[in-house]
Amino acid sequence: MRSSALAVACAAVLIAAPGSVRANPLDTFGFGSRESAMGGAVVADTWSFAANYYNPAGLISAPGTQMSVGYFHAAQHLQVNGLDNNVDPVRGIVGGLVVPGKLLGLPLAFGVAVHLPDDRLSRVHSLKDEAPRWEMYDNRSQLLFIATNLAIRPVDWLDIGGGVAYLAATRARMDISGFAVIPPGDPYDSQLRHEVDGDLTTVRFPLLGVRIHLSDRVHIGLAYRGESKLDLKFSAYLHGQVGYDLIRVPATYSLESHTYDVFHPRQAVLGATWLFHPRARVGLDLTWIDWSSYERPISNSSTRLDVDTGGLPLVIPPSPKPTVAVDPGFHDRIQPRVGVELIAVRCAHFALPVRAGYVWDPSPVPDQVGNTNSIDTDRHTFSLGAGVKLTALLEEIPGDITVDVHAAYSVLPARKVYKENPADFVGDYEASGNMLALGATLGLGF
Amino acid sequence: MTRRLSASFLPHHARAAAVFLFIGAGAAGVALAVNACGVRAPDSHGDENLPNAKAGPFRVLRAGEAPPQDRTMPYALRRKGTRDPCALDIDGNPATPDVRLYVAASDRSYPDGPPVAILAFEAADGRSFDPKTEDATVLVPSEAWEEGRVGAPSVLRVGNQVWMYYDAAGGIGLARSDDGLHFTKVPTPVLTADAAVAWEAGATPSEPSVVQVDDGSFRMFYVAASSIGEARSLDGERWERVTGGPAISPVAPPDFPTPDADSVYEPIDDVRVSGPFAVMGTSSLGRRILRVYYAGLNRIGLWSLGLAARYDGDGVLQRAYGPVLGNLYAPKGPSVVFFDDFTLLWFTAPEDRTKPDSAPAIGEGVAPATVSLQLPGL
Repeated sequence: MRSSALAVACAAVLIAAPGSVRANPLDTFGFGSRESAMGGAVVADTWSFAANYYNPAGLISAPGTQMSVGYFHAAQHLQVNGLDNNVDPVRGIVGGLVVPGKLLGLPLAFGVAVHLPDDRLSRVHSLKDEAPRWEMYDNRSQLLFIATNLAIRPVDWLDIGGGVAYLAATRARMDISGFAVIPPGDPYDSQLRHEVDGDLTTVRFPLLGVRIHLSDRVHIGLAYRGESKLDLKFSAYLHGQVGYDLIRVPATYSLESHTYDVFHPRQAVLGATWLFHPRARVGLDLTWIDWSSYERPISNSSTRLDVDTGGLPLVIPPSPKPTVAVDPGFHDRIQPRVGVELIAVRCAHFALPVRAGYVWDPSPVPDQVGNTNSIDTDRHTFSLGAGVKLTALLEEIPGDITVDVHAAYSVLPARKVYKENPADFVGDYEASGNMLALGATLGLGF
Repeated sequence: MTRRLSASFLPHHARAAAVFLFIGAGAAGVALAVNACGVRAPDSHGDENLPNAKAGPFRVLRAGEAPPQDRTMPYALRRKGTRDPCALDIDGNPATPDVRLYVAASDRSYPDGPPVAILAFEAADGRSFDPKTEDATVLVPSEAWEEGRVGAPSVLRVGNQVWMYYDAAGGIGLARSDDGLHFTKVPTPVLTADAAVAWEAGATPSEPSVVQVDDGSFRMFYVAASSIGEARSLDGERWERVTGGPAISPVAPPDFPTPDADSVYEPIDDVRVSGPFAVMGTSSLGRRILRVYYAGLNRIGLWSLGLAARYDGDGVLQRAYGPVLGNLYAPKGPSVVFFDDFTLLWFTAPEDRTKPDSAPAIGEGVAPATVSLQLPGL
């Protein structure tokens, strides 16, 4: 009962607390060494802190309270026309907690998980519509992830889980007033005052999961991850005088910019795990990803310049046309994943599992024949891993100590882009690349 | 089989949990400290070596990008009355930016008058042209049909020779040279007015730009009336106009899809197009592209530089999505040379940007705009 209260209390506090950020380095590189080594094909076969991402219903299968901490580093060697674009690596601490218990006689479990980047907490990068960028890997992977979930087992053959995650939204305003010197005067002679007002708000979105135990050896899992996006709004207002020397012209300039960044599409995962041998299991997942709803991190902006020339024969440039992001036209995708786990060695206090996995991540990005330049290719990821599991090693730790490691190598086969307009400023290009992710996770079970 | 947490063994686990949490919290704390406690996050990357056709947009050169240090930028050449530049890569090697710049020049005592000579200036870095170069003249009027003027040079390498097309009062002429400095003229113009071409309205063709395409034939783009026409030739001397209207004509693009009543979107070339410069290039995937840079005048009197292009040597030219150089310097008469790492642009601009009627000079720009040009020896 005490553990149940603890689980409920933790969940209540974390679900109510704003300020966390959830994003998707996990989509790309996986979460937890065991699950990453199996290609993420674990929607029906996860019970550690990683279940907070793959399937919250899996939390209920945790054999006891579990704490985990780990680290992973993913190097991205992404190239265009044979030249490396030096896309930032993704790395950070992963970890979490699973606390199972009972509430009113029903099995209940609480979980929390975090991915904490160790070079920056988050990064957003808003570009012009036509600016080339690795759409999937430039900054979508550069965010803090926190998720909290609850799971219950209402009947023996059914697990249900769900939770809440958060997204931070930013609104900012900048007011500038004073005298702006324009060429041929020296702009450094400008006397301007500015005021910045920023606001952070949160957006919640759901994580849901179900597991069905068809038998002791066959399990089916279904998970849903909601859509999220970072809502960035910025406005600037300049009011004052513009000119040089004795020429001073009253002017106002306003800028409104609205950007959605770090878009994370809705996902639905259906998968199954088959324990085809007492020491071996295989998992197969299919993930539907709602990429057709994708919104590119493009600034929708408008500006307006009003200048009172007082009848002077001055040529005032017209206000530029407002920028509106082009529909990226992404396609929904089905992403297959397969993973296997084999207990190579097992004795009373020791087990040595080995794992392998594969993911085919078809690109949702259409051929960039027009003005936009979202660089992306298909991705084939091959993963390997192993673990050491020590059981009842110490009196203080009657449960398990696990150490899991994994390596995942992704191949991004070459994709050629031929522009329809020969006057295109970016022109034809060929994109390709590879990624190498390494990680380790230490787990402690009671 | 399944163990559950119970109060009875909590004390035993507490020590281990404390150690474990201490390690985890310590690691997380270090990461947070790096992020949030005064240590600046590393610079972001991901935008290096991104694809760029290096065809524009250009930025003008900045102070310090061309010697001498006190050179007034973006003027590559300020010699009274010079205009209509045409650049030639001297050694034809895109790894080295050594350039000979041919310009039309008016009488220095009458810099706004018609061009009466073609001059050549050289710079090993493509930027440090010396306006005081002696004996820079490479072509002067000598034929009756020229009526005392030569201008708008278009220079290209053909085999071991350098050919120069130029405009004069009676049409477009051709001169050939073995060294690019001493030219021998073809005595008659190679393209003259043709009253049968309706859109030219009987105007004498001017401001030629000639390029040799992959099959060895030539294409000429020239100005007549307010448009740019095209002609083709097998030998560079006998030209045949391409029928079907001008290659580039002033046209207002369709209204912006979501017009803002308070905003005015001005096209760059809805009144006049002029000063074509044609150049062959290759895309990153090996497709051949014929690009035509040109100057455009819009309805509020602003000049900008535009780009139209087509794959291979023939066909319809498609405009770029935006100007390659804006109207700040009222640029006209572009010329472009592609090098390995960047592309240089020369253009005619008023020598005083704030006085559009001031004498012409030669401005210079570079693409991609993110490139920083280093001075030689630095």
